Parts: sequence; C-alpha cells; structure tokens
Amino acid sequence: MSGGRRRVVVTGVGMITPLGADAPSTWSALLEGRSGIQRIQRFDASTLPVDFAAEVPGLTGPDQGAMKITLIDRALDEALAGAGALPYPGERLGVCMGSEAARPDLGVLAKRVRSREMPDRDEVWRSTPRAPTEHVAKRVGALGPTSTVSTACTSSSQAIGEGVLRIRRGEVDAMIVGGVDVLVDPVMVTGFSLLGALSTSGENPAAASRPFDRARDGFVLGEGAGVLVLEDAELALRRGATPLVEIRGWGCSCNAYRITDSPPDGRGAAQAMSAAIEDAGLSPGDIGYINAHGTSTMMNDSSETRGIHTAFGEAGATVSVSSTKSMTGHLVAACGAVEAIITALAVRNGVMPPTINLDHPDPACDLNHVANVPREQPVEHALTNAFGFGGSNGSVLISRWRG
Amino acid sequence: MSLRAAVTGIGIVCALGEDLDAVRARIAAGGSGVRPLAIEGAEGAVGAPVEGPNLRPWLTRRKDARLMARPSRLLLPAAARALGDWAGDREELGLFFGVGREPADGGESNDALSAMVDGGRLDLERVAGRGRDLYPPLLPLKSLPNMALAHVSIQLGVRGPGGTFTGGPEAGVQALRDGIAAVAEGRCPAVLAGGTDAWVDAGALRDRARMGRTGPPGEAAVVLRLEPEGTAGALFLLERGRAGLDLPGGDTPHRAALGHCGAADGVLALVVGQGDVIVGEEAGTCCEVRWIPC
Repeated sequence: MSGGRRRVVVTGVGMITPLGADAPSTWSALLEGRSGIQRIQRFDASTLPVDFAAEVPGLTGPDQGAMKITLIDRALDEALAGAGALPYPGERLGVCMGSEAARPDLGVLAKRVRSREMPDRDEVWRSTPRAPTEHVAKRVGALGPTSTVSTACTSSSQAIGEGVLRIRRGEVDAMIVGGVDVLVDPVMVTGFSLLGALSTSGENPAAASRPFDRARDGFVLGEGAGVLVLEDAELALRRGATPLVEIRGWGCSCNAYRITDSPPDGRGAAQAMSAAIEDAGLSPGDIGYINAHGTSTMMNDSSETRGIHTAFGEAGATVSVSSTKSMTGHLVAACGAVEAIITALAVRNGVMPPTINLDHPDPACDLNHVANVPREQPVEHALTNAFGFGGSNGSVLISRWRG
Repeated sequence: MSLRAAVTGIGIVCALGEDLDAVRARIAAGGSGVRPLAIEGAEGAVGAPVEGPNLRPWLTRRKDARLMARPSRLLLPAAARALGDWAGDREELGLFFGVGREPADGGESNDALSAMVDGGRLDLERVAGRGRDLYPPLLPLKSLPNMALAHVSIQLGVRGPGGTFTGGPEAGVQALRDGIAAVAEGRCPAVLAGGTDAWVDAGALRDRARMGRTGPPGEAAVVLRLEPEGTAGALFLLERGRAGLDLPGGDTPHRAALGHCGAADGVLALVVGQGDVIVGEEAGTCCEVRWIPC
C-alpha cells in the first residue's frame, strides 16, 4: 500500500514488433538503432501511394483478425512465462486489451462485392475489437472484469490505465493488459495516405520515420502486440515474483480540437502528462525520460513538444525524450503497450533507446533528444505518451521498483 | 467499498423519441418503435430505427455532421441534453462511452471498391488509380469507435479524462462504471457516460444474421450526467456492482419496443426500467450497476 492505495507492479512483459519476435530481440534492435521499416512484403504495393511499412516478418493469416490473434498469443506467451504461475482464482483476474476492428482482406471483400458471399461466424467474431480480449481471457482463465478499449492510438495505453485502476480499487489482484493491431493492408495504406498522414519518403524506407526532425513528413504504418502482467505489489511479492517496474501514475484527457490534428499548443497532451505525474505524487523534475508518442507527423511532434514544455515547465528543457516509432513504425492500437514495455526496460536497464534519423532537430521540437544513439543514464521515473486520432491522450508513469 | 455517483442529467435518442418520460409512457402503453426496414438487400427485415436526429443545435460548424458516422450522430444530442446547463469547468468534465459495432461504412466505399475490382478479383493498379480517386479520405477515421467520443468532445468543448469501450451491451455499462468511479474517486467533478450503437444498416443486419442473433435490431444513444453523491437535484444514484465473466447476463425488457441497441442496450435498460441492470452477451463480460432512488 502507498498512501492508502494498493501499488501496482509489472511482473511479466511480452511483445512482438517489426523489430523482433519478443521483448529481448526488440530491445536489442532498439539499442542498435535498427529500423523495422522496409518495402511491404505481404502484398504487391508497388502501385500504391506508399509501398513501405513496418511489418512483423513472416506474419500471415486468412484475415487481419486471425493475424491479431496470432500476435496477441505470442506476446501473451512471453508475458506469462516471465511472470511465472499466477496463483489467483479466475474471478480475481481481469483482462483489458486495446484493439480496433480488423478489416476484411481487400481481395476477399472485392470478391464479396460481386458474389454477395457472407463471412462466416468465426471471421465476424475475429474482426470485432473485443476478439483479442475474449481470446486472452479464455486462455488465462480470467473470470473477473474484462473489457476492450478502442481509442485509436491511445487504446492500449488506456488499457494499462484501466488495469492499474482496477487493481488499486481491489476489484482484482492481477490484470492482463495490452494491445494489438494489424494495419498493413492496401485499404489502410491507401486510406491513411489520402489523409496525408503517412510518410511518402520511400527512397530509403528505414529513414522515413524521423520524429522531431525538420524533414519529417508523416508516420509509417506498423503492426504488433504488447502484453503486460500487472499485479498488486504485495501479492506479487508474497508469491515470490520479482517486479520489473512499478506503474505509479496514469492520466488521460480529450483535446476537443479536431479529429485529424492535435492542437498546436499541446494542451490535451500536457493535461494527460500532468495528471499522470500528479497521480504518482511526483513533480515534473522527478521524471528522467519520456518515451514520446512522436509519430513523425509535422503536427503531432510540435504539439507534443509544446505539451511537454507546458506540463514540465523548466524541467521540459532537461528531461530526456525519444520516440521509438522511428524504428518500430506506428503500431496504432498496440503502440501504448509496446512503448510502455520499452519504457519499463529503459527504467530497469538504465538505458534510453534513441530516436533514429534525427539528423536536423526541428527548432519547433526543442527538447533534450536522445538522438540516434542510446543514452546510458539511471532513470527513476519515466513517462510514456500515446495520443490518438480524435484527440484522446494517455500518459503512463513507470517507476523503478524500490520495494 | 461500493462506489456511487448521483445522476443529474439524462439524454436519450431512441426509436420512440428523445424524451425519456415520453419514451417510458409509450412503452407502458404498448407502443413500439419496431417497424419494417426499407433497406435494399434486407427485404422483410424489421428493426427500430431512429428518425433524425437533428444535430444543428449542437454543431459548432454545420459541415462537421458529414464527418460523423451513425453512432456519433445519435450520441451528440444525447450527450448535449445530459450535460444541460451544467456550469462546471469543461476542462475537467470526463467522457466515458460504450460503442458497440464499429461505425459502419454505410456504403461510402462501395464505388471505390467496385472500381478496384476486375472480374471479381482485386486489381492493385485499380486500387491506386480510380479506386484511390473514389475512396473517401476521411473514411478510416470516421469508422473508428472512439470518434463518437471525439465528436462530443469537440462539439461540446469537453477536455477531461475519457475512454471508449467496445463490445456488446455491457460496453455502455462498463463506461457508466468507469464514470461512477471517476466521480466517486475525485478524478472528475462530473462525467458524461453512456452508450451508443446502430444496428439497422445493411451490414449490421448481415453481421447479426451471421452471428445467429434473433430479435429486432435497434439504434440508440443514452447518456447520463454523473456527479458526486450528495449533489443537489440528483434524479437517482448509481452504484457500481460486479463485473466478470461468471455473472448471469440477461435479456432486457425494452427490446421488444426499441430493438437490441447493442452497446447502448444496458444503459437503455437502466433508464427505461428504472432498476438494477446486469448485462452481457454470450461468453463476454457482464457488468452490473445498481439503481438507487434518491
């Protein structure tokens, strides 16, 4: 208990990303500054407006829904193996996943436009946002509260927040939280490029995602999954588990601005970060690292920068900031979970992964960047941001476990 | 400790109108909003569609309505009415909504898809050519579930904490439960919480048939304004009950009159039935909130 409330620790993590099939391989790639972005392999994208993305190598399946289940299964396996056997009865275990609906394969859809053939019951279920949640609940035997958050790019950040609040309230003893997304298909690539949101710098795909750089021109679609096992700290210790980190704060907000853009003053982002810091009972000066949302769009990165300065005041000039989307691409509904795991590893290992391709920092993004190479420095407390289309913001505060 | 909040405002948009007392009176008198649907390809189907609604009083820019899918259009008037004349700081007002089925395309991409097909097969050159020209640029965003919350936030200028839950009828109740907690735990001075869903378009009818769902589909939005227990003028109190996979979910009596309204269904049952609700679907989570008269 801390200040009368239960403390929440992370005891297991798992992720599958364009950089690696698990957390250690993804972490190694991040420290090497390796990009997971390349020409699209899954289909012939040569005629599309954008022909590169951050795919999970070798990921296949009959439809996006099936691929999402494959990804969440792998991340879950790793997280459960790391956490060890969870002794909690089903009704004391909950699940919250961030996920959006899976789109039908465009080729299949095209056939259906003509034939009016219907998808089968399983495919309809797999395409719903809640399918990964229900799948995970079944696998771990969770009978407690389960829910699915769909707030675009904030989804899995919000799922973590939900998990933390449920454990603090004593509704459950442990939560399996995370998120998954698969968006690299012709419809999404076409749709997001028509919105002007995607980078079109395809000459060298590995250099296309360049958050905070003057030459940034959009984000790169990615895919992946991240899962975290959250537990009541006291119960985790009692069963002999070793906490990786503590999740100490959570904050969220709405922008009330536009569905496509962030407000130039970054006020919603600032509100979410300030709420997380306040929830943790800390001050901005206590935060050593921010894993930024940093999408590599002109608007997001400058808006987030302003938000950091508003929330942090003087400390905004010194806090270390990086965006790992420069290497993973934008994992949309999965990014909050994957980046929370990356932040947890940064806190635990005392190394901050860099923003690669940050050759000419934009003056509008005047931050203490971890540019191009990792920075070794003990981090006691860190924030990880996730901001979504429609103006939803989430910020998770992760702290070194001090017992 | 059970968390409670006071309900100080209600907004409803359903097949029997947009005034809760009138809706309840119509149902009590045996009225029903279920009628034959005029949907191509679904001849003979019945459902409970909503006429309108009129969004103009709440739009900051009239053209914004074009960006709204059906669940957003239903939600905005319900949220605005629930907010009413609340005079607090909208920077701190929370928004928690359940949205069920991903907002449907509504046929907007049909021309693009048709132009992408050659002899029943997808032609990627056509995707990049005519298909791209015909593809509605904002469609990927319009169809995201959280857009309903986004439009309420934008049109009503609300900036507090927020979240969108997706799922079956428990999604709206899950949003209510989060809203109650946010108010009771002091994270927000007030919250708008509820559900919105639309199941009376051709795609939704097909999905329902595939999932083996019976009974008439409907569409609705119901939003409650929640404030701390003890707030003057409370209509009734809500208390968070249980949530889990081992609770008995059940049918809700209003469905004969208003259809199955997906993520709005549980909240609809609460305000129409004026009693506790436990809702859920199939093997999914069930959520409970308790209705306590003032």
